[in-house]
Amino acid sequence: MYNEKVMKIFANPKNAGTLRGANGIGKVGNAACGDIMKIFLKIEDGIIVDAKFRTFGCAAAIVSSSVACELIKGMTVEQALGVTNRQICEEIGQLPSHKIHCSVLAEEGIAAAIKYYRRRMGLLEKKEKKQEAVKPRTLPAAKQEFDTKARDFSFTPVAETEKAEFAPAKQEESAPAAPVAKTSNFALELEAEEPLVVDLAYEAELLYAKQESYESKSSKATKTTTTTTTTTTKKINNE
Amino acid sequence: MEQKIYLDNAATTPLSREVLAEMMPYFDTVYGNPSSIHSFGRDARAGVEQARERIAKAIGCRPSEIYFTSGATEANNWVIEGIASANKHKGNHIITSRLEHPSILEACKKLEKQGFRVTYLNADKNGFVRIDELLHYVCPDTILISVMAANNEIGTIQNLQAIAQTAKEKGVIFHTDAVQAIGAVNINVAEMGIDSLTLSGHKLNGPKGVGALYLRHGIAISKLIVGGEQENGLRGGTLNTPAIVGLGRAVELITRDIIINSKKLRMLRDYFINQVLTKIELTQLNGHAIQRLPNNANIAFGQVEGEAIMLMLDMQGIAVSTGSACSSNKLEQSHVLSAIGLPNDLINGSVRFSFSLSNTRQEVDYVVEKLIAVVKKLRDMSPIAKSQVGKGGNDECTTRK
Repeated sequence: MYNEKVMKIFANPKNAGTLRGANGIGKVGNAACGDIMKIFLKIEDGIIVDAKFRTFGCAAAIVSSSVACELIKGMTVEQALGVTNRQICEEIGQLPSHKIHCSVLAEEGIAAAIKYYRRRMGLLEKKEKKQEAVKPRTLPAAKQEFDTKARDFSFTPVAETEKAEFAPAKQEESAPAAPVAKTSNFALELEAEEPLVVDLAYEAELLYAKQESYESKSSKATKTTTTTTTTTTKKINNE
Repeated sequence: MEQKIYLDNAATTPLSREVLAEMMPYFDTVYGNPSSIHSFGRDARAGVEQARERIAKAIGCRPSEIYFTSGATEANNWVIEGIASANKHKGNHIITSRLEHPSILEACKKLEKQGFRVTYLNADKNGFVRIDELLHYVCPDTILISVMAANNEIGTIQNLQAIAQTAKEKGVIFHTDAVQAIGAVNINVAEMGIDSLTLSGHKLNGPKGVGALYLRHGIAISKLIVGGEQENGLRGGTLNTPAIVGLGRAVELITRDIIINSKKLRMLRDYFINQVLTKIELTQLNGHAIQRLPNNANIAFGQVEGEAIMLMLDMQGIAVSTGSACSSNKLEQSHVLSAIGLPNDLINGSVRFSFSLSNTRQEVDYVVEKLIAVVKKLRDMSPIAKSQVGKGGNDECTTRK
């Protein structure tokens, strides 16, 4: 079912493992699908200098993540976001039709890792924030619902700018891409036996500074949305 | 010089030489149509009837209660739909289990669309159907209970007699899918009170494309294929003489040597299971440890995915199979492993090893050695932390497919 190229890469995948000093991490997929993909990016001056992956999944998922990492190395962040699953498929040769979703997962993994990176950098350089390239599939109704919810909580001016950012970020939760909140938490939850991937102290500091508390409130009361949109209540103190 | 090791005997088995020898004349020398009355036909008929007698003897029924089909899938479909439609006047409720082969489950789903009520019994963590649960669901309009004798994936052997007795007491027809169980456990349909049973040729070192249905006299079933007088007019079509002869011989051989063979297989299986569970961490055996098929070892490997293990072993010449979602074309994970309540990550990390008598201890050692390397390699690239193994949850898959 797999072509020779896939099997060849699968036998010796490149870029497998944890990347030390990664500043972009994205985790997509779940065990029910049979695929979990974690992409580590090391981004310097907007250029991806190194990329690695850890994948739980079939040959197609492992090969897709290996090829995706190989593809985006040396690219700028914007170029990397432009990489589509089709490109990954072409690189591999051909995937069986029911395995195409594995390449989609790789695409989403990259997007999630970059999103994580941008969120982290966004705190330091506000300009970066406008380049939110991962466009969430916003449902008009869902967005409106968020806005009304948001108005219920008095946002500080700082939060006002944050809101624009976080509204799409939370919308993403219904989409397959890994929720941002989870990703950042995941970094903290890294196993002690695993090599430290990110500067945990730095990471914790950032999180503390933001004092984010994502409390998912299920929007059962509102019938406007079909997706499970979660609203966030948070208090942001910019010290 | 790559070693080739076949450990997927639950998928299919090689044709045994004795069976092949018995089949050979029926391809060219004895070519008559078994339905013909002349000597050519009578010779072929004799082969078919001998096969029928052999199977009847093996499972303890009368030869006239055996019907040949193209395989167990056909036989299972036929039993479910045929008995349901012929007994519609008695009721519209069917009981089966969540562990069944898709040939039973899909047939039941089809019946549900036609207005039948189907209860799918749960299984405990070892893969057993609970008799009290069965009793709870039996009602006056229940017409059929179908529970497989031994599971093809996890190898658990059901307490068949207890289920059959329960069905008998309640006056319900009891069918069992014994594709894996024939040759592994002693089955005597008359003693155990089984009303209907299906078996398949290619799981017993017999030919592919042939199976048989035992149906007790007096049970109504509707016709499967019309337009021929074969098999009492229930399943028309010229009989596949060589395959039927082969099936008869295969069933005879496998039930004859059942005790010694299953003992040998059990030793090999337990040796393998012990080796794997002690040498590889984060592994567990799926299904019951003792009451399982002698040749079946289904092991869940934490942190890694089954299809990746399967393919990596395949590169080393070792053939196994997996219950992972990735390996199926529908991208659905094993319904059996879900039914026994295994968390998602372990379902997708489960691999089935099924042995045959031709496997040796040396081969097992070789497989274990390769397995250790493969699992280590895949764990090195796994994003699941050790502490997260078995916490895959049972949530739905959200990936775009």
